[in-house]
Amino acid sequence: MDLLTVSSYLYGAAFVGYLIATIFYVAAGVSGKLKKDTEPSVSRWPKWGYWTLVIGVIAQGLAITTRAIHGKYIPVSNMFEYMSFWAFAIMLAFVIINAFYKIPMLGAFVAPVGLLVLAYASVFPREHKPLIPALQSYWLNIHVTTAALAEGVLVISFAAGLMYLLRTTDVMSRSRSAKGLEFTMFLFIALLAYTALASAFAGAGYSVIAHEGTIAAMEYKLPPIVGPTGTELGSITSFAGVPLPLFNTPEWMRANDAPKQLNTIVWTLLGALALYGLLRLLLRKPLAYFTARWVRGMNPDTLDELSYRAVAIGMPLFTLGALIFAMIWAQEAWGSYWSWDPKETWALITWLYYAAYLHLRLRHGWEGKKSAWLAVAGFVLVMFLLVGVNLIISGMHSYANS
Amino acid sequence: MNKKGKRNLFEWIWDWFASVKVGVSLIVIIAIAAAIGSIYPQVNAIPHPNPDFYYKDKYGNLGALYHKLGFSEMYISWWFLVLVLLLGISLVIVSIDRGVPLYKSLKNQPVARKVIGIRSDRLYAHKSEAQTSELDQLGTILQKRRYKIRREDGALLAEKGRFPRFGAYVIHLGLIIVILGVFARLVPGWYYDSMVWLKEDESKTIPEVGFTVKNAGFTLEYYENTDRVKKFETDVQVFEGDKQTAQKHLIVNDPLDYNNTLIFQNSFDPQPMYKSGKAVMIDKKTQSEVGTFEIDFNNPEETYAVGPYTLKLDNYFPDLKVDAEQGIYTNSRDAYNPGLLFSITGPGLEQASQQWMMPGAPFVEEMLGKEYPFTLRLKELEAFNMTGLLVHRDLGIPIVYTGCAVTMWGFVLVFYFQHRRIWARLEDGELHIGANTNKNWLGFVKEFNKVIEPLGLGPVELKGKLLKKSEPQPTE
Repeated sequence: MDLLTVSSYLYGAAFVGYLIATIFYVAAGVSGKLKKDTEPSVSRWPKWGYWTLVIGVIAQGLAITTRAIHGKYIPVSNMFEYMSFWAFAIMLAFVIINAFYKIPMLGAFVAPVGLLVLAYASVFPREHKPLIPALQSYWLNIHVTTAALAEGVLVISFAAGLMYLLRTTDVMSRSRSAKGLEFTMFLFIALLAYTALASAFAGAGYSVIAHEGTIAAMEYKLPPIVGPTGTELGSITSFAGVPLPLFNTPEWMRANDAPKQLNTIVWTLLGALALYGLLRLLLRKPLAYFTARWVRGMNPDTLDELSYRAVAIGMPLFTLGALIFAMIWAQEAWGSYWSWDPKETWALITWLYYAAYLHLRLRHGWEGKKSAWLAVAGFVLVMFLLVGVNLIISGMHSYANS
Repeated sequence: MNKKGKRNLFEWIWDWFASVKVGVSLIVIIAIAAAIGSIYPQVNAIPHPNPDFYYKDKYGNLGALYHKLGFSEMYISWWFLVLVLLLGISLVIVSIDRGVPLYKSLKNQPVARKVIGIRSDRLYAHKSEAQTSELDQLGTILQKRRYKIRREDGALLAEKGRFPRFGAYVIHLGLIIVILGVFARLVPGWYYDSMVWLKEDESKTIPEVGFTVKNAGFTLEYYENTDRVKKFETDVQVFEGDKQTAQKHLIVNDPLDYNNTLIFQNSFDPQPMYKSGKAVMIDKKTQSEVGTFEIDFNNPEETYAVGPYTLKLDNYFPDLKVDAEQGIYTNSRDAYNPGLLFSITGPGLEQASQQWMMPGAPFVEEMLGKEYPFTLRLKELEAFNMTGLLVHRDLGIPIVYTGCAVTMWGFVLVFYFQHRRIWARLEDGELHIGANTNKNWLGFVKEFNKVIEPLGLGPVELKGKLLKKSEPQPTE
């Protein structure tokens, strides 16, 4: 058995660990026996969740190490490697921070996110490819891992901010905060739906090529509900008896893979609406109502503080890893420390965003709700930086796509 | 400078730049502008010489509009640069506006505070029937803990970590240095950036940096059985005049630093060029080999003698193109796709037979050459790829890196160092001890209790909630 096989088993073990941890945490939330955090927790679920998660982190640490020994560089060179490393960073940040803050249900909000990110990573091709010359530098190891750790810590800020909002909002009211929280729940469901759809079709090896053999040929990894502009409706293929595409990409969307992206968005929305609708039917209450029960009795000030503290750790790390190390490497590899490559640009945007957060919080008195909303929205920005930029805008970092 | 009453223009501008709202607004506007600039590639990143055509063609009307609005050159547009400049000014002014008063107030802080003030500190302990010796003892203990001690009659002030209070301004200073470093390229002679494409053994002189670069050999390697590039490397030599002054085996990620000008292995031309080859001449009738000859594609001979025949080169197209309108022409002077037109004379030929040789376009040659008496084929070929070197000089780089280091230092000061002060006052035989910090109260409470323990005091608890506010940095 070579190291790569060992590594992939370990990735699997980590995934199972995170899954079980998530189940423990959700069970803890559902069982709802948690009392105020000043009293000892009645339920053991969160503790079990935490330790299973620690095992998962150790397994993934070993998975990364073995893959690194095999490839002679830390595996952060393509989408699979990077996204799974981010999942690792999220979980690691949680394990360390929670050891200090000991907020039992923090894991209930972090573990599902880390789990989803790891699941999403597995949608991408997992084979090990040797490095192209631009990536053959020790800065690959330094720059990408530091940036990923920072982005992992920022997820903790998001989770704590979300918990704060759930704790302090009357989710059954018609307030904007309540609506916003429900929408956040929907976004999480959409992420879940997307990951589930993408990994299911990828697992089944689904592939359909529209306009095969022509210069406009386009490979779909999801059944093409949306066809390329000018395709005859129903002419590409059929899925579950429905001839596809059902409609075409509007003409003004000219980007190279606009049809595929639009198709993915349509699938995600359909999946999210179906899943969300089903959950609402089953539970008969807003989803935020259930997650709000997970944070009952917690001290909102602690959550607020933690959300800020995570930014206080994440921001310097992000500055160092995602900007300064990136600049030094870019100077060495591309001959210019800054070239407004989309990834660079969005890293700067993320940095500016958290700079604004810090000023508003420390200098403008935005504590509590406003600050928590900023932390929650920050996660969307980080997601876009890591996923959106690679899939939608591609620049010199586009090799990360392969 | 928040003076009441009527402000003059200078004060008005000053206050405008010093306001948090303006600062945050500038940050947000720059972020939004940067985001817009990333929607489509910028002009310098498009693979087409004519942007007016490219944006419309590739991205449709939206793309055309994007280009027309100037978003396709966002980061070099005057208004984007103005925004960055405004942010820079705001960083300077806000740091002076807040930093200087803070500095003054900390410098001039009195040692002896009023007891009523000390009493209301969040950490407070007191001892009745105390004497000066106990104040001395407290001073010694704190000195051991590396506090700076100031004494006045019956009063003590111990302070540690005053400088971290200025952490935010250190970050600002770092960012100002970064911005200066970026704009340093405007200094004449400080910035130069250009791509140099070199064939094998070719050299080019770059007057702006005062030297000549030579490609003394380029290698390109792929990973086995793939089209994935493993490495591309150039043996580069630098000349000043005729004298070679430097050389390096240049690989990606490892530039040659020559007098502060960097030479990078940036790219290579994926299309190989013909260098030289051994051609073979075959008699079509007998299918027998007449002979061979060597062609240098950069500098072909006027005539070649092959066996009993003479091949005269009538015309040479190094980069042959065939087009319905223009006929046969050469696209460049580089031998990407050479076409050689020979007149062949010799035994059995009543008149000179004209014939094309096109090693890169065998089908065209075959089409044209049904009647040709000979076949001219390349038996051996030496080809090469042009190497793409980037010559880059930016004397602002060390300034930018210095700014980055200062910024990081500021972040560490802001988030990980605290400013601690302990006041003691001996009044009417009673010793009052109060303490204040700007963050990490939990740790400070522990330290405070350790400090007062030898005096037979404590432990005391913190007044108010531990997490009352997240580390506000009150101006004095």
